[in-house]
Amino acid sequence: MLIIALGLLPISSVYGKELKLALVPKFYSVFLIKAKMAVSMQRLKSKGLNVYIEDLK
Amino acid sequence: MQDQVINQLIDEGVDGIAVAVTQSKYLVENSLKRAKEAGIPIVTYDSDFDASINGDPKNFRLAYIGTDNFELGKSLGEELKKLRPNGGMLIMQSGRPDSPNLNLRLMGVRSALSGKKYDIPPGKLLNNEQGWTEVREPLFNFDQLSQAVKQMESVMKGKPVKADSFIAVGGWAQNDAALYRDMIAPFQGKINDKEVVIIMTDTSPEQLTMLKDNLAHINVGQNPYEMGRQAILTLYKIVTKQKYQEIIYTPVTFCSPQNFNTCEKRAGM
Repeated sequence: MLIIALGLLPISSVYGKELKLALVPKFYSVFLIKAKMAVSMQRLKSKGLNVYIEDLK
Repeated sequence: MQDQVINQLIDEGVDGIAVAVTQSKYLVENSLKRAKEAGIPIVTYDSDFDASINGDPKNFRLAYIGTDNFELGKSLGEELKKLRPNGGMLIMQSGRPDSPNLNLRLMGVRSALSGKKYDIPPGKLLNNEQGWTEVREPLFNFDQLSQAVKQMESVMKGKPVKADSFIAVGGWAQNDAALYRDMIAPFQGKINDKEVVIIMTDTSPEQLTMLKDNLAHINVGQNPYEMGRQAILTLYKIVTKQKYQEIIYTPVTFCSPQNFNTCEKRAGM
């Protein structure tokens, strides 16, 4: 089974402090895709946060 | 692989890591040990540390976000009881006999069907308890999808052992949709007539399409969307020194051929 890389999530708050939070998945699966979607959606829900997903190569 | 990725993250100065654990012992003795020494908060999601770490998981992570595996197993059993209220002959399928979360699911199924409580996962083989008998030990596929499909085919054929109920505590056999469809097609009549009741775990889009096509009776889904959301939110709370929950159980969903297109939406998907 293919093990994939991860989503690395830099988060910039309104205070200008940047946080980097990482989501390390288990295997390539729908789990990862949905988990990523969830994090992406978080941007819409978290006022004042700029969240985006960047895959590590 | 996870170890490499975590080491890379530490080198990049990450502020927090949420990990769906695969090799518990190896990780805690290597990259996660390094992360702990560097003061980087760790949470687990989907899959927590197992017994191989010889210690309390709390020593290695601040929170766990995922399915309550015992309750998931109970849900699978309860769904079977609805379809076969007078009991029956069951075969279960699991991944590995040394997987703590899967053993909790097996125990949940057995508890639901027998009405008993067990002290140690995976509980005990059912032997005419409330009408339920397991005709053999669970089939372990060791995460080999083709093996999972072959095992299920043997259940559908009734050879070498006949059963009228099948529960998979993971989605393995359906994870290769083409293989599953080829295998199950000759047994469509048995499914339609409920000669064998099929209850599966997980609800990927492919699985729901197969459910729509009446290639199983019930799929009980986990909630990876919520796991991902809560994992990052929890990490965010930890690093910004806010209150957080140490354990968050994400809800399961119940899907059938009748509600396949709406069942996931109810859980906020």
